[in-house]
Amino acid sequence: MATSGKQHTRLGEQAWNKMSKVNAEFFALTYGAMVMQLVQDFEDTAAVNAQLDTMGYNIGVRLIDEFLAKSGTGACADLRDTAETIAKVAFKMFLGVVAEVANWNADGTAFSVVLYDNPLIEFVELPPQHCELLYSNVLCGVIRGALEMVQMKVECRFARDVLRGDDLNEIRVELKEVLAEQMDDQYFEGM
Amino acid sequence: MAAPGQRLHILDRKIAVPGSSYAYPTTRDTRVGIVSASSNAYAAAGGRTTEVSLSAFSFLLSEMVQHVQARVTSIDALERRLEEAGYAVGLRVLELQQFRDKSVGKRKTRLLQALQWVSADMWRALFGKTADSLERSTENADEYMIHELQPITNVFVSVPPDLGQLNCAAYIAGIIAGALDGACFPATVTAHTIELAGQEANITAAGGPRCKTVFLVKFSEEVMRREAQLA
Amino acid sequence: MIVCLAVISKANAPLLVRTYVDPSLGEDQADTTIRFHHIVHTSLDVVQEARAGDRHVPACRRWCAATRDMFLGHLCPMDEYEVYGYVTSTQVKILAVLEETVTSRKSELAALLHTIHGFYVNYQLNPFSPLNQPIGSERFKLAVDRQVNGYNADIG
Repeated sequence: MATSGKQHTRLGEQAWNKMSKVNAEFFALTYGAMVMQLVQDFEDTAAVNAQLDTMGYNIGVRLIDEFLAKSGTGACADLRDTAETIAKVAFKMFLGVVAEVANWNADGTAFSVVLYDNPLIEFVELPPQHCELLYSNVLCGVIRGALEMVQMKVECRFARDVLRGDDLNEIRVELKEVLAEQMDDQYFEGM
Repeated sequence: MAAPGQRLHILDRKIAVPGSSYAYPTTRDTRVGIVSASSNAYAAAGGRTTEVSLSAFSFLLSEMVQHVQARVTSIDALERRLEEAGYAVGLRVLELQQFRDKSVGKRKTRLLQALQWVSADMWRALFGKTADSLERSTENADEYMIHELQPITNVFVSVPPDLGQLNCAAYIAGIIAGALDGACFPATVTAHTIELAGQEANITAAGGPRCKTVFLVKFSEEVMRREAQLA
Repeated sequence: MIVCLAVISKANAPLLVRTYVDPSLGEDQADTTIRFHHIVHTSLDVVQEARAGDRHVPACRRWCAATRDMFLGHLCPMDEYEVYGYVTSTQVKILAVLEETVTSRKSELAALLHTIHGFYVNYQLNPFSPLNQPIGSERFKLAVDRQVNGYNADIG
């Protein structure tokens, strides 16, 4: 049963209201400290980007449980429903911001999550030697990890990034495969 | 150190602090603009976000600890790296808050003023509350303790048994050290887990934390000498 | 009009020195920069004194008793210029070198220095900003330039 746009927004607000909060600036500073640790530990910008994605993935696979428990969303009917849920409910619930879904491809297997307000990049300016850094790449990992736990294998990447000169943040999500459900052994017993 | 599979994990939400809203005096222009204070401006819908969920913060911190853990060989080293990460944040927070609090933006010249700024003003700015208490050590004149029942770093992050001594509030200890150093009161600051006893243990709700965190602040000789001369 | 604006670290190292001298006056840019670095450097001693009060008082008492306002006002004349100073709570100094003494526009100058303080705060909140090292941020430099040029345009 698909949820309407307004319902997504409402669910997002409700979930957000239930969450304990912290200062967004403190959060941004903490994320900055973490990125700096990675930059020091890895010489290579590509390695930092990959590590951010991995960390995001690790977060995503755990975050999905809290999301499902607290958001009040049922199973998503289709990929469109999933996309709206990510943008309007999940982003709102965890980061307090609402994203938009845009740029569906013809097949309906890929979409973009557009973020106008990104709490991670408060205060950040990329220096020239780090112009290839995907500072918020953790978000791609989170989406990938969370969706994998609900049987969707996706690829996520930043198509547009405010820190690299674009006017908004756009995360491109492409569905690669719907994973088969792991059936419990008991399911087969009666067969 | 922990086996690769061991992870810090997030506690279930049921045993949690009540959700609370942190109101911060923060409105900002675009990134090139001034950071200016405005009274109690918790921006409602339409404004730039001033809050995120504690969950997001906890997940982030948990990953940060995991990352560091893989690169060190002792809990002490892990805590030192968290402190280092916090130190840079502390310097920045000091600069930011001192700029914003125009009315109280005067330089702190006495040790107690600086400590009170940290445990009240800075604490409120970062954590939405003042620290539970500030005490002076009875044994050492250069030591003070800031008590916090549940530092924000520990609320939703539980530590696996083999990292039992780790206190993620080492990150906050670093923040305190950075802020004090920036204000010209260099000190070593460490986070310690103390079991609750007696009255304190009774006060916390059933099922609540059995330990609290004490930040031990040990001021440098230079600071103590200066304080003695000013007394 | 402001001819030079400098941001100096707690340890008295220059983090940024911007000059606003008319190039048509013929002076080589490099010479201008050196000249103003010298002026700024010499002015730092005066900043110490301005905040120190009576020299005969012990250092610690001076540190304590010193003015706690951020805007220090007029520091000293230097060559044909007048130097004004501002110190943040974390001992970062912002110096403005002007062609003339400021009397009626003092509050505007104080406001400008405070605004630049704000830019500095924003700048060092960037996790990539190395603390206590020269400022490389183009965004910061542009913001400072815009403020100073605006101030100069208002007078001129």
